[in-house]
Amino acid sequence: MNLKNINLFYDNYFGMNTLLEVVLWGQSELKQQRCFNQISAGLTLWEKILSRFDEEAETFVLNEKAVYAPVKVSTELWQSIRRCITYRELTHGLFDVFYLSDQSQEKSVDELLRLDTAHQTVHFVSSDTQVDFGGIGKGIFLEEVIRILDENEMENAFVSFGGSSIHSRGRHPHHEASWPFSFQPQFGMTEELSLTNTNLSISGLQSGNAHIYSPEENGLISTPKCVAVQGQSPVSVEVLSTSLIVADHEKQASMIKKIESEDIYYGVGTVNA
Amino acid sequence: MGKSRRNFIKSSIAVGAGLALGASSFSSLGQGSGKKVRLAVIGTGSRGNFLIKHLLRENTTYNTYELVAICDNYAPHLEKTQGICAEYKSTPKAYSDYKKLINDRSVDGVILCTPLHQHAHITIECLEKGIHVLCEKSMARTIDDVKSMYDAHIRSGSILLIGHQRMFSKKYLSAMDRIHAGDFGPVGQIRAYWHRNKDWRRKVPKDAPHLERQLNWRLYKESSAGLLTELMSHQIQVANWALKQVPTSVQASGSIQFWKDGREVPDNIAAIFNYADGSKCIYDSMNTNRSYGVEEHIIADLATLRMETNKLQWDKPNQTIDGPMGVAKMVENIKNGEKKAEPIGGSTWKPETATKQKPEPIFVGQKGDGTVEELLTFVKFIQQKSVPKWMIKEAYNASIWTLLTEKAIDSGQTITCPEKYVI
Repeated sequence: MNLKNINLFYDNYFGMNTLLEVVLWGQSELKQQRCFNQISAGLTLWEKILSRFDEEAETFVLNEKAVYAPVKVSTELWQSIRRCITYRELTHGLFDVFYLSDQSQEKSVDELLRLDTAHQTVHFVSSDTQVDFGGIGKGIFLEEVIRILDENEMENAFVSFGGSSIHSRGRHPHHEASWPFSFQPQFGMTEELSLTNTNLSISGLQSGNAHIYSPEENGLISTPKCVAVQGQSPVSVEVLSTSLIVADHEKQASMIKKIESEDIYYGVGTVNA
Repeated sequence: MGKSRRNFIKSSIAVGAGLALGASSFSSLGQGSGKKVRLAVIGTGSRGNFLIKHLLRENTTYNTYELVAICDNYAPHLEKTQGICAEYKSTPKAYSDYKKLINDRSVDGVILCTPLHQHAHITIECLEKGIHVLCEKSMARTIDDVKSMYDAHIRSGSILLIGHQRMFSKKYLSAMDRIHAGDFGPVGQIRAYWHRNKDWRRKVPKDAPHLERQLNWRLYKESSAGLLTELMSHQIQVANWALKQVPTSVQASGSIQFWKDGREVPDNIAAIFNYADGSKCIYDSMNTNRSYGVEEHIIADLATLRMETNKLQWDKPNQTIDGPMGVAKMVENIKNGEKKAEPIGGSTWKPETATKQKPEPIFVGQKGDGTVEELLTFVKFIQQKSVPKWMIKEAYNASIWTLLTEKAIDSGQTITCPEKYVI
């Protein structure tokens, strides 16, 4: 294959305290560069929505002010909060963007905040309520990446967000149908995956013996400490990989039934804190 | 690399395995030679007694040497040491004058633990009489004296070893071998510090105030450069060793910030050492807070080594000295026509925050700081009548740059090393 004909593109951008790397090929140089520019601009935009550290970010402002009065939020933040509340229920409270709030595990959503759909406002009803999108932000942004790639008609792309959130579509230039993928050796997972048109989220991966989850074995063989979840929704796989690490067997089985995924890979090791 | 520093270090590992660090090798040496090495200790203050206790304790296992003489011009110290020796059923001959000790010609090697300003002339006298010397660090009070000691060693052929005990520690030897092999990528910074919270004073008898400068020699400029010579010299040696270079210049500042008790040396210092390849050693030391303790962080592209606490922590940049990693490597492979999977998946790397990965030990099995190995290696070197050249060069450069740091503090200038002191 002549590389000049395929216009191999690679660039990276730093956002959400993470390195975003984008590989594209098969479209014109101009179109691929424009697509990457949109992705990097989108990352800056979403960081301004979801960061709790940036004083100019919407979430930072929400955490500061929503305890005093209802705060009108953007549609993006509104939908993000709503989705996180749904995932909180689906994961039995294990995936909790309100975890910084005092005793959040013992509180219902209604005890933490009040959402006014008509005015799209958020009001913290508990004085210590805080929101942190750290566990889901990369997944939310990968949805944006997928939208931008679709709009730009990118058929072949590999996107890595810190090595822990992956989107792939189409194929590797020298591979027939997919992107070959493996895990960093120090984490002990030896599987080599063939990714195409899918998303992968890796949480707490560390050295240990890996094995693929088998539904026939009625749940997990042992408590997972390292999890990689593959699926069509980058947000769902992000939530599931995070939650499976801390769940007991019963909750793991429940979450796997309720939250969409394609494959789950486990490593038994210590959590990479 | 030729006879490179890495090969020197590899040699040192071999030395370590065969001479300095392996217990079995010491016992076999003792059995083979028949004749015991006769050692003397000059200077029986706190450090001297520390080494004497090690010598006497190890002597029960390694029968390759005997402590035949001790010397101190301060009678209470000498008497105390005699008591220690008696506990081990050892009766070395006691001297109050080092000249008499070395003129007795009954010793093969002297371990010198006197105040710093007495190192040079005693060492040189010993070396010129064919007596081998293990001298405590730092080498000497002045740069000229450091050079004179080195020259006397070369001229006489007598062994000169300096008490940088980290050079004898398996932990350090192992780490340096891996650093020099490039296992961690290029070293960019050494961050070293030594923080204590005490006045560093020795008690002076009320009826003998004239002993103040003799007993508290570390606090006065005529006899010591304080934190620089007594502490930093160890750590600049480690920095130079790790970087395989000596500095090109030093900038430094020092002040008597807290202990305003008549001392002349700073209790609070900071220094930056610049190296030819752009790397730095950033150093500080103080006598007024110990929460940071002592540490040398060797910060390389792929990992940080915390030498004192034996911690190795990997970092995960996507670019290394060997080329790109992860996705960038995958792209390089594509350009080379390869389709193999690159290891990409892992926990998110957050380079902007202090990493929290659990560190692994640099080395397992090193007990102590290398002092025992240093003493036993000195005996071995005397038996062999040779010492690796790199060891004295490490010590020499550490002492030179320690004293140049003092110049930087006193002058407020960036200091370089005069050509005549380069070896």
